[in-house]
Amino acid sequence: MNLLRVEGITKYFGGLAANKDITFEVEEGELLGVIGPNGAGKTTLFEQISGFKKPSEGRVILDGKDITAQRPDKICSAGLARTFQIVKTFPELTVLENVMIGSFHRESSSRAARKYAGEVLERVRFSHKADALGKELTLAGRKRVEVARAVATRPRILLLDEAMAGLNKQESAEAVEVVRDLRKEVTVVMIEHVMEILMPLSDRIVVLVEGQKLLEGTPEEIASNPQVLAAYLGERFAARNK
Amino acid sequence: MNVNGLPQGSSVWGMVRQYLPWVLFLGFFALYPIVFDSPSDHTLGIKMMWFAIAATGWNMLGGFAGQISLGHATFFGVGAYAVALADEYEWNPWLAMILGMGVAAIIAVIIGWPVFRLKGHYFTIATIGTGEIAFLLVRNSEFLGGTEGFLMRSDEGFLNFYWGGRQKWEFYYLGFVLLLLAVVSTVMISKSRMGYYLQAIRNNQEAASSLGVPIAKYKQLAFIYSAVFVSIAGSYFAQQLQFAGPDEAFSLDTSIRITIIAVIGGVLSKWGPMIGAIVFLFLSEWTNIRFGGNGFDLVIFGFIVMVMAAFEPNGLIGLGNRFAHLLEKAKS
Amino acid sequence: MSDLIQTFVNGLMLGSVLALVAVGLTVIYGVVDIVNFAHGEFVMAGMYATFVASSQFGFDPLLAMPVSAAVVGLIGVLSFFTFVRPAMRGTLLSQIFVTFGLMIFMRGVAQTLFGSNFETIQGAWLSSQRITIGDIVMPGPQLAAAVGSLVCTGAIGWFIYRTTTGKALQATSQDPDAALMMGINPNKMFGLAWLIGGASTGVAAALVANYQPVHPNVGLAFGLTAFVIVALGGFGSIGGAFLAAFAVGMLENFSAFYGDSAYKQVWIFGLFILVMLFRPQGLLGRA
Repeated sequence: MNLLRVEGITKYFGGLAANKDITFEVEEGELLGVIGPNGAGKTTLFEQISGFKKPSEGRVILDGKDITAQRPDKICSAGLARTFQIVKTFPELTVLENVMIGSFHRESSSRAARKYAGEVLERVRFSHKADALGKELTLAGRKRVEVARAVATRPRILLLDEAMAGLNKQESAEAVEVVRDLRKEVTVVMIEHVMEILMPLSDRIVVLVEGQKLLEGTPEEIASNPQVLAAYLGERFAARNK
Repeated sequence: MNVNGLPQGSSVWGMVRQYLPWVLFLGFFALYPIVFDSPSDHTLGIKMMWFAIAATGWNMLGGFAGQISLGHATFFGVGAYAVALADEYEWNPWLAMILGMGVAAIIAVIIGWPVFRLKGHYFTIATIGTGEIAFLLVRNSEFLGGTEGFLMRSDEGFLNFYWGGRQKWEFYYLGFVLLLLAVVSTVMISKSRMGYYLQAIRNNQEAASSLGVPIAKYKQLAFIYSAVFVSIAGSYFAQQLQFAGPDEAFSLDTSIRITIIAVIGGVLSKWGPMIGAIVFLFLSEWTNIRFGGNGFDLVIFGFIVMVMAAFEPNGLIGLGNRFAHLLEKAKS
Repeated sequence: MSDLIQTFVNGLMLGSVLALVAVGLTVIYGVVDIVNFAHGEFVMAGMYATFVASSQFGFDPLLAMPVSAAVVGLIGVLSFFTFVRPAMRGTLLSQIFVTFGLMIFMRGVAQTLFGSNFETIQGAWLSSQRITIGDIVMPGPQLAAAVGSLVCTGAIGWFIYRTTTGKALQATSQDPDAALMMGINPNKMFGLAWLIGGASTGVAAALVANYQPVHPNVGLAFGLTAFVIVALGGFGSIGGAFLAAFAVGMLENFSAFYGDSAYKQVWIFGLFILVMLFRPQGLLGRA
């Protein structure tokens, strides 16, 4: 049985549809990639799944329960955690404390929360920065903290929104390794703009274009699909002519 | 900027940094009436106590959770009027104070429902609004003494929550106990899940909520806590003055004063409000003596608050931390 | 019936003055993204400037208008470049505290310089004028304040929506970084917003000083009402502030007419909290 089911999600802003009738499923233990050119509605989709925006139509089902438009903290309790494309690190808290906010979700005592936060930092290979303040981190560091915090809530499914955008080659290679480790224990849905990063990581990929699901399939199927290439090439062409 | 008083490493310096504030703070407040032993000094000390209790209470919401309220005079007034009414109808002032704490908590829930839908400066403006509404309602209520308020005539003694003689050290130490209550509970909260959650809310609400923090619930808890302690300060204040009036207890000026105290001391630290109370008291007394009570203290406080906001938002504690940081650097 | 019309006319006259005060606040918020908690104190400063110009130098309050505008405009610009600009880089706490500090500071300065007494301007030319239509009376000072405020509010609207500099202001308010790329210096624009916000408030203050005594805490009521109007209209929206100002002017007069005038502010804040509950972005604000 699938863990997450997104059913006919549609979102209008004013008269414009940012998402139109998007349906897909995520199996337990799977890593699903979501790609699409800028403005394809990827982040809007995540915002609706995680409860930050209310869908105009459609439903989100997590493990058989309807979680559509519930409060983000309720959705977190139901077992879905996310990161933000524009990072929202707690600037005045240390890295360890940032992660503790996540681990407090399942641990009521500070001691236990601190211990578990330490373990999570270990897992995402960021223990050496435990005492640094959020505002002192580089972008790569902040993105790592975002992931660690989300993992510390012990989700069943993790939504990563461009966890590698803006990182240099080495940083994103490290981040890829972290994701490879994490997916052994948790189901992951990952938005990434760069196809080259997502292809080797994903079990399946959903392609969004102009707010609609263009297709889904294995990375091989996606890579050889002429429509996908057209969508991406079209964007590059447009970018050149700006 | 370490708000939780976590030990900074296990060095001796770390231990000193953790326990020094306790020693300094307890020492100062415990010894104050012995070192400064004239009745007028004691009166000042008592003032310092209610400043510190009120600002510590305010800071749970304003500092930890980052929700700047300019309407806390309402709770100060509830505390003050609770004991004033008790005096009027000959109830026990202690019971009245506890009743006042309950009323303050209930009002906090009622006010919290609309105002917590607003964020940032919208929230602040809304609290000015609720504060002014309460002020006007009380001022125009016959039952609550209208514009005159209540003159009280408590008998002396512990049960009556009053000592009025020449030496007022008993009343001072009573305030000290109440302050301890405020500080110890603040420290306990700051080290608990709630303390961390409030800071997360101050730092970034969306991120906090994505990590499972029920924002509204924790803001409301902080609001209740701060309302209760500000009302305690109000009761203590009215017992000392033997008076409760709308302009003294419910006005925006009272809210502003509580806020200044916390801001000057440093809102990101549990010690800030106490430092603020000491500095506020002595600066205002000094300007009163030096320049006469003509508003020059406001010039100084306003200036300090502007400078702090622009250059060191964590007030005197922030300045102290910077200084300590420099020292540490110089040593290594 | 004529009572009702009189109340309505009073509401209109009050509304136009409030509109000018509120527009000053909303211009600053719209461009600089900071709420000026000292805005009521800007009114107070303008009234004192008018009072000094009239009592010390014999200016009629009408002639003192430019003086008041210059004084308050200068206060605005100075506060921006000294304290507000550094605070803008800080957290939300800093941004709230900085103008909160300014409010306390200005009150203190007023008390220190002028004491806590109520001061009234004597012998203003307007105070002996009045227009009567049937039973409806429009005292000169109030009428002039209303007309002057309307003209000034219109001038600000024209400046912001019709001139190149005004468009640069708008661009800065939408996205300072993008404005910088277009060759607009955001700091200049921020300073300009404080100048406009201050000067227009100075004009309103000079007009009000014709019929209302001044004291160090006179700003409180103006500031609070201006916050409510700006929040009702939607922060940063000039049109919204304009409409909301008349709504508040009416509410204030009619609630006093039908009920106890002591409660008129309760109605205003009650309205504010109601609107915030159901339409937090204000009447014309962007969601």
